[in-house]
Formats: sequence, C-alpha cells, structure tokens
Amino acid sequence: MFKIAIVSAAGGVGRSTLTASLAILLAQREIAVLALDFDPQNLLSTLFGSGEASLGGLLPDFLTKKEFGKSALVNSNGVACLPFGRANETSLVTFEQHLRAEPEWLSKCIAQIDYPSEAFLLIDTSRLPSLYARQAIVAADLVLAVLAPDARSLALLPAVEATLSRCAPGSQLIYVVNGLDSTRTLQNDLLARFRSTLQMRLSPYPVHRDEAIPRAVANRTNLQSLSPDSLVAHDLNGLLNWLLAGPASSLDGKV
Amino acid sequence: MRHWIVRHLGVFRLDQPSLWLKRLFLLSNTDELTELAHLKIKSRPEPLDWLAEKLGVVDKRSVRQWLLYLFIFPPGHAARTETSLWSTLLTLSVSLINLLFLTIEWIVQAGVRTLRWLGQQLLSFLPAVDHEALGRRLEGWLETPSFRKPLLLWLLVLLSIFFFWLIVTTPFTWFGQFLFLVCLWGTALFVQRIPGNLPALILIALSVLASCRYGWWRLTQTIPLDSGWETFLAICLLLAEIYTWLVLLLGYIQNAWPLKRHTSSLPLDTSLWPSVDVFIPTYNEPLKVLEPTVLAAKGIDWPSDKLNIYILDDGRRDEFRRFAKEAGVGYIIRPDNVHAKAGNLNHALKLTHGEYVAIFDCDHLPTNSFLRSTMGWFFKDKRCAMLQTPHHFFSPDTFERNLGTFRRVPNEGALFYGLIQDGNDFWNATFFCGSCAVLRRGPLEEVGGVAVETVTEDAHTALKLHRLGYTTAYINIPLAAGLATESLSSHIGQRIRWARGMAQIFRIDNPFLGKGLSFFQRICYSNAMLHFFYGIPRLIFLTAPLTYLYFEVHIISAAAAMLAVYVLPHMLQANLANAHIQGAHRHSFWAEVYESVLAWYIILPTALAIFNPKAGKFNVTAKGGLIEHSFFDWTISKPYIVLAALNIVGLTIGLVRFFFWNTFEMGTVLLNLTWTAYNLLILGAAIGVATEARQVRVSHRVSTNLLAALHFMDGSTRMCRTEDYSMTGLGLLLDREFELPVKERVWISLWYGEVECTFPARVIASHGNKLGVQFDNLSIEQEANLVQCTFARADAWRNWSNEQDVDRPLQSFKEIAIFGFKGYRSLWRNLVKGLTRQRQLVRS
Repeated sequence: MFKIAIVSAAGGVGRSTLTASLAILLAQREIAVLALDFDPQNLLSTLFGSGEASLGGLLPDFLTKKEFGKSALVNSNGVACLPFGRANETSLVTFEQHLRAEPEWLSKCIAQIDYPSEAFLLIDTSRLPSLYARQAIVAADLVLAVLAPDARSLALLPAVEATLSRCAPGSQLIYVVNGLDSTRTLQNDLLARFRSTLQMRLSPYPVHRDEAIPRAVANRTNLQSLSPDSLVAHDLNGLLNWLLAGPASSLDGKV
Repeated sequence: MRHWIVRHLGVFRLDQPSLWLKRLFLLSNTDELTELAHLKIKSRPEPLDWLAEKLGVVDKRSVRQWLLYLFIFPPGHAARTETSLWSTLLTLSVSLINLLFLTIEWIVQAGVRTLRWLGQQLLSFLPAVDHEALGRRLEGWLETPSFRKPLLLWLLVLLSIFFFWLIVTTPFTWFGQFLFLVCLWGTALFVQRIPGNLPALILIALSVLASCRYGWWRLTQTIPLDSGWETFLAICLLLAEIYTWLVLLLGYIQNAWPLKRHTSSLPLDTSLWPSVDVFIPTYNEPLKVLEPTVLAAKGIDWPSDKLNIYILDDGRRDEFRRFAKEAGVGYIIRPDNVHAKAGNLNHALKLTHGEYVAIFDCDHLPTNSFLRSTMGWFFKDKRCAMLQTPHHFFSPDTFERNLGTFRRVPNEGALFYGLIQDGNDFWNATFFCGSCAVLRRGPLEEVGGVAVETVTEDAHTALKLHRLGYTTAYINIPLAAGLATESLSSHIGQRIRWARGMAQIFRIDNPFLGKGLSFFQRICYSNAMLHFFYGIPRLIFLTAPLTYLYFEVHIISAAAAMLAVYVLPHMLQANLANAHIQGAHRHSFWAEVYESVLAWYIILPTALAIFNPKAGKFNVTAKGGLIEHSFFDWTISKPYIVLAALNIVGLTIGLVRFFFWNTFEMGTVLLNLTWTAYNLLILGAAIGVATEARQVRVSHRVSTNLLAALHFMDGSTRMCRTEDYSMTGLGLLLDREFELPVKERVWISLWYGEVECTFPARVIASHGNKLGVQFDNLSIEQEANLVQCTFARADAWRNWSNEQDVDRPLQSFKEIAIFGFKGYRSLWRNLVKGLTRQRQLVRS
C-alpha cells in the first residue's frame, strides 16, 4: 500500500478537498484507494457524499477498543473512507495522550489493514504543528504539503521542512499549490517564487480555484462527471499523473 | 540590310543610342512590336481583311482599334451576351483542361502501375540490397590506402574526362540519340529509388552528361549562319541557354551535399556564455509591428545580464522612444540615415560592446530558444563569424495568397532556406541574410562593420568575412518568424533590391576575382549572383518561339524531331535531378512561375548595376515607379499581359501555319506551338498572381493547436484548445458546444512550459463549439507573456511544412495550367469591369 500524508502549515488551504479529489480520481482510474481522515474536525466524509459528519470512526473505535478500520465507509464511486468519528474534548485528550506516548500508533494501525499492495492510502491531517500530522508523516511513504498561493504559505515553508526532518527524515516531501487564481498577478508571482525555491519538488500542476469543486460537493456528485473539461479537473489529472510517474513511482515498486 | 535590321529591331530613330541599347537589351514595347506584326501580316491580306470586316475594324492600320475590337469591344451592340460567352468559354476551357489532365493523369497512372508491376516482378528476381551496409563498404574502399594514392585518383579523373568527352561529342543519328535518352532515363528512374545522397550525385552526373551533350550539339550543329537576322536571334537564344546551363551546373555543385547542421550544445556553466547585443533596426514600420519583436527578444532564454536589446530607430520617433523605455530596452538613434540599414547597424556597433550581435528585422519574432540553439557553434568553431537561421514566414506571401497555395506548395523562399543555404554550408559559404542571424563582433569590426557599398549589405558582409578566412554556419531550424511581403509590388520591390545588390557585388567585388576564397566558395557566390540575371534569358524563352511563328525565322537550324531527341534528355534529366534534390523545397515548374513574374522587372536594375554599380539614385526611380502604381494591380502585370498577348497572337498564327501555310514542316510548327502554349500557361499564372484581390491584413492569425483555459466571471473554468492565435485575439475550440453571449468578459490562460499566463478578453463570436475572443487592453507585461506563449515558443515553427504536398511533377504542372487559365479569366473580368467604368465616366 502506498501511503501519502496530506499536510499543510497554514489553515484553510484545501487539504481535505484535495485529498477527496485525488481519492475520487484514483477510484475512477480503478486504483483501490482509502482516504483516512486523521483530523478531529471529522469532515472528510462529507466531501465523499455523506450528508453529515459521520458518528463512527477511528476515534470511537479506539475508545471502544474495536479493530482499526472497522467503521470505514464506501461511496458509490468506490472510494473507501475511514472517518475520524465524533469526538468530544475528553475523548480527544485521552486519544492525544495516547498518540503522544506512541508516535508510531497510526503507522502500526495502518500496517494491520489488509489492503491490496497496489492500493493508495491518503491521510488527511490537521494543520501543522499537530500530533495528528506527525503521526501521519511518520506513517507515510510520501508527504504532500499543500500550499496556498499567498504570503502565509511562503512564510511557513521552513516550518513544514523542519517538521518533516524532525519526524521522518527519510520520507519524501513534495509540494502542491492549491486554490490558485491565475488571473491575479500576485498569486502568479508567488507561484513563481515557490517554483524557484522548491524547483522539482513542486508539482508542475498547481490546482486552480474553481467553482466546479464546491458545485460538485453541493450536488453530491463527482467533479469528473459534473465538469470534466474544467480547469481544475485538468489540474488534478495532471497532478495525479505527475505523482504516478514521478514521486509515487520512485518508491520501491509498491505501486 | 542595315535598315532592315534596324527596322526589325524596332529602332526607329537611328541617331538615338539609348533607343539602340533599349532595343538590344529589352524587348520592344507593344506599339512597336505590333507595327512589326502589321508589316509582316500585310503580305497575306485575305484572312486579315475578312477578320477586320467581321470585327468591324475600320482602320486596319490602327493597332488600337485591332486590340479593342479583338479583345474588348464585342462586335455590334450585343456586349452583354458576348461577354458572358467569353467568360463561359474561358470557364469551359478551365474545366476542359482539368478533364484533359485528369485523362492524361489516369493514362499515365495506369502506365506507371503497369510499369511498377513489371518492375516489381523484375526486382523480385534480384536479391534485396542493404543500402546502408553497401554505403559503408563503399566508404571503406575509399579509405583504403590503395585508393588514397594521388596517381590513381588523377588517372581516374583523366579517364572520366575522356569518357565524358567521348559521350558528349559523339554524334548520333536520331535513333541513336533516342536510345541514349531511354538509357539515361531508365537509369535515372532506377537510381532515384536508392536512399541516401549518392544517388543524387549520380542523377546530377547523368543530368550534366545529357545537358552537355545537348549543349555541344547546339553549339556545333544548330547555329544558322546564312542570314544576319537569323544568326543574331539564334545567338540570343543560345546565350540564354548557355546562361541556364551554367546556372544549372553551378547549382548542382552548390547543392551536391546539403550539410544539414544540427544544433550544438553550450557549456553547462552559464558564466562562460558570452554577452549578446540584439539589434532591431527599424525605419518606417509601425510600432504595432515592432512591439511583439522587442517583447519576443526580451524573452530570449539567456542570462539577463548578458542580453542587451536595442531598437535602432532611423525614423527617430518619440513613440518608439517611449516604448523602449517602457519595455526596458535600449534605444539608439543617429543624426542621419546614411547607408540605410547597414549604416544604422554600424552606428549601433560603435555604441555597444557585446561579444556577439544578433540581428532581427523589426518584423521577425525570435523564439525564446534562439540563442541557446545557435550559440553552441561559436564555442565549437572558433573561426565561425556568422550563423544564419532561416527566415520563416507565418503569413502567406503574394503567391500563396493569390493562388491559394499557403502551406501546401513550398513558397519562393523555401528553396533558398531549405536547400541552398544547407548546400552553401557544406562549402563553408553560408550567406548572411540580414536578419535572424548571430555575428561575432570581432570579425565584423575587422571587415569594417556591415558592408555599405551595395544595397544587399548582408551577402556582401558575408563575402568579406569569407575573404578573411572566417567560417559561417547555417542551422535549418526556424527560430524566428515574420510576416511575408504583403503585395506583389512590395515583393517585386524587394527582389529588385536583391537583384540589384547582387549585380553590384558581382561588379565591384566579384567572387571569382580577389583573394581569400576557396574555389567552391567562389562557385556558390557566383551562382547566387548569376541567378539574378535570369531576367533577359527568361524573356528570351518566353518569346523565342514567336520568331518562328511570326516571321518564319528558324533560330534553331535542326529538324524538329532531332531537336526533340536532343533537348528531351537534357530537360528530363535536369527535372529528375532537381526533383530529387529540391523536391521538398520547390515543386516542379514553380521556378518558372516565380521567375516569370519578376523577369521583366529585374532586367533594368541588374543591367544598370553592371554598367554603373554606383548609380544609387536608380533604386528610387525604379521603386518609385512601382510604388506609385502598385495600387492598380494590373499596371504591374502589364509586361505579362503584353507578353501573353504576343503569345496568343503567335499561337493563332501558328495554328494557321500548322493547317494551311507551313504544312511542309509541321514538326517545327508543332514544336513551336507547344513551346508557346507552355509559355502562355506560365504567363497566365503570373497574371493570376498579379491580378490579386487585395486583402487588408489586420493582424495575421497563426493556426496552431495549443492548450488554453477559459475563466468565467462566475468562477467556473473550462479547458479548450486554440485554433489560431494573433496578437489581438484567439480562436478557441471547445470539447462540447457552448454558447456565450458576445461581449462577455473572460480570462484566458495560455502556457509556455509550466508557466501559466492569463489574459483578459472579450467574446466576439460564439458558434457551436467554436469561440472567438479578443484581448482586452493588455498591459505590456501581458503582451510580453502573450508573445512568449505563442510566437516565441521554441517549437512554434517546427513541423510547419509537414502538411505540404509532395512534389508530383504532373500534378504540379496541372495546377499551374489551371492557375494559368484562371489568370486569364480574372484578367478578362478586370478588363471588362474597368472598361465599363470608363465608358460610364465618358458618358457622364
């Protein structure tokens, strides 16, 4: 199983959206995929068509000592999603204490899942610095850091690098710009900055801001069937192709 | 006797030397020639009287009346019906010609199929040949020491010369000569199927053999020596033939082995890369033309501290100065305009310091890979002083537009940039062409900057560099592109300049004289210059058969059949060899059209440049005359109309001769008739080019399929592809039908490499899945980005000629024949139109 952690240092850059979009795209290409919501906000499942945030999930399972992954859901596109599950403050405190004590908890849990070896696991995390993101980084083969084309993300770039080198020095870290409005000169300039700083580690396909995504979520349908010729669909396809041909293929043939 | 010649020459005032010169070196004009015709025809009055009566010509001596009643006024008052009859006839003949050619084509194809089948049967008996291995073995033999002995080489050369001489000079009977034709042709057809460059050399050898044999025969056996008049005309024709023979031979040497140079890589360390000054000279071109060029030059991929761009403005316009400041490029002016472009460049050379100079005409947009693709050779070859790249045009030139052959038939320049420069490159004789080239500053300053003595400063500069032992290089990859000349008059004006400049160089700095050049460099330069003297020979060929048809003068004293069997191998082999060498760059018979259009106009400039190379004023008058009248297209086509009229009359007389008067030498009449008919077709095509429906070009659109994206105001987007692009708008092609209101604001994304650029635009047309958008007030940065995404892409002009038709001689001839007829039809229509207008003017 090929594991990708989706992280970001700034909030609201579209981690969950990107995770969901990539997962759906993978499923459409008939590659088995599991999207893991490792963010207490517990919203990922809504992006796959679930009406409301799921009650069950990995946190309730952990508290009730159930097997990891028992509450995974599958949507009509064939995407499997393991929600975080509803949490309250006390349960979170308990869980976080456990995570702090055992940095490789998620890694171990994932290892138990019986999933095809060519499958993809996408782990959505909460904003860095966070326990959840650290666990995900440790567990992942590849870390995909999401950047917004704004000054915040540029300023936080060193923080992401530092976190990664601390948690999992061996893992590969790549970047993608999400939510780009290319009609704005400033955003294009920032993209150029990211490009010159990160060079080959930045995906050549920035994901554009596009009404097609919220529209697809609102209509509970997937992007590719709603607006297949939108720019964002093109971007996501490009991003995935780039991942499959480059970063994701370089990892010991697990894919 | 003297009076007789004088009268036939058309010198009516004996005491006027200029008239003598004019008559000797130029064709007489209409009035005088028709007077001759009149004199001759008068001796056979019966058919003429009858015709005059029928047509209603009152004064039979009035040329004007004849012309009017023959071609313009229909007899009686039935003008309307008569006109339509004429056009119907012409239209009919176009379709008839088409049918005729289709039939011929079908027959020939059937023949070819049978022959091919036979050939395959024959070939199946032969073992398959591995041409590559054979080539290697051949080369291996040449490398062995026994072959390297100079004695052996000289022996072989002497032997070849002996046999060559034997073949060229042995007289044959007509049957023997016919067998010679068949053998040569058969060999050529077989040889041309072999891959590689060796067969080209064999074809050239065969062609030279056939042509020399024909030449020898012509020289020794066919000059009529009995009467002064005939001998004079015969020698004129012979000289014209010798000229073409010489140019053919020189061309073979020039193009024997096209080098086809690849790009050479640059050192990885960019600190070693030299500094380059980009010069963009301009004089009177509008800013709209210069702007994209400057923006494209700014985008050239080169360390920015080593790339300096300068606008050299001989127009000294404030608007340009402001633009230069805004774009952040240099702006250089000078107090006077001495020596035009050459002087402008030399002035800038004094003020700048880059190690290299790249020169772009102000309408030539460089692609961003221009320097990266070219500069490598300067590292590899330290003596290299100049590197030229092709001049590529993304808009159709006059021929292409008026005949509708854009991107289908190789244009006039294709031969030069596709083949001749590659051929020159092999002999280290690549010419500098004034634009899209890089020069090393040191050598350029050593020869005193760009040459100013002639009006083709570029070729002369290269010649000077070669004389000092520097090398030049050519890369046949279009790395810059521009607009072709827009009208026939500007096309002719430009060619007059080239012709004149080349003649000037030929006179004042003859490549065959002087020091420093290798033998083959001399050949290449001489051919380039001699090429521009085709004016008179071409006119001689266009009128030669008329001497017989009009006056029964036998300028070739040989039986028609004999002439045919001698001239046929010469023409066939030359055609086969040329089709093999240049087929991809010039289709068969097109050279005739291109040359015929220009022939008349380049005679005087070349002749004057030879007699007085410093007559600088002449250029102005010659061009001035053209420019003044260029807006009435048929003024420019006057020479061709006169020639066509002469040929039509000749054809008519010839038909009469064939059926009534000269039935005792039908072969001769037929030969001359065929020749005249061929000339008429070529002239018709020339008229077709000249009688253009003028077009107003706003901003030329280049059709290319590029990725694009539309951003709508509601935040949604859509991917699409471009159908065409220009500096002002785009044609877009969507996957699905999509209606958008006109005037709707959108943003368009285009990419170069990974970089996305967006441009504000408005919808101007929306139909089905097609969308037309126009850019909306682009800023200068946005324009620069637009240039980078479109015209300046490294691969923008690759594969441009992939869609071109392959050269099929018969098909090519058919096409030209049809253009010829269309030319006459449009000439007729324009005449009628003009006449009606004039009649109305007279009445009112």
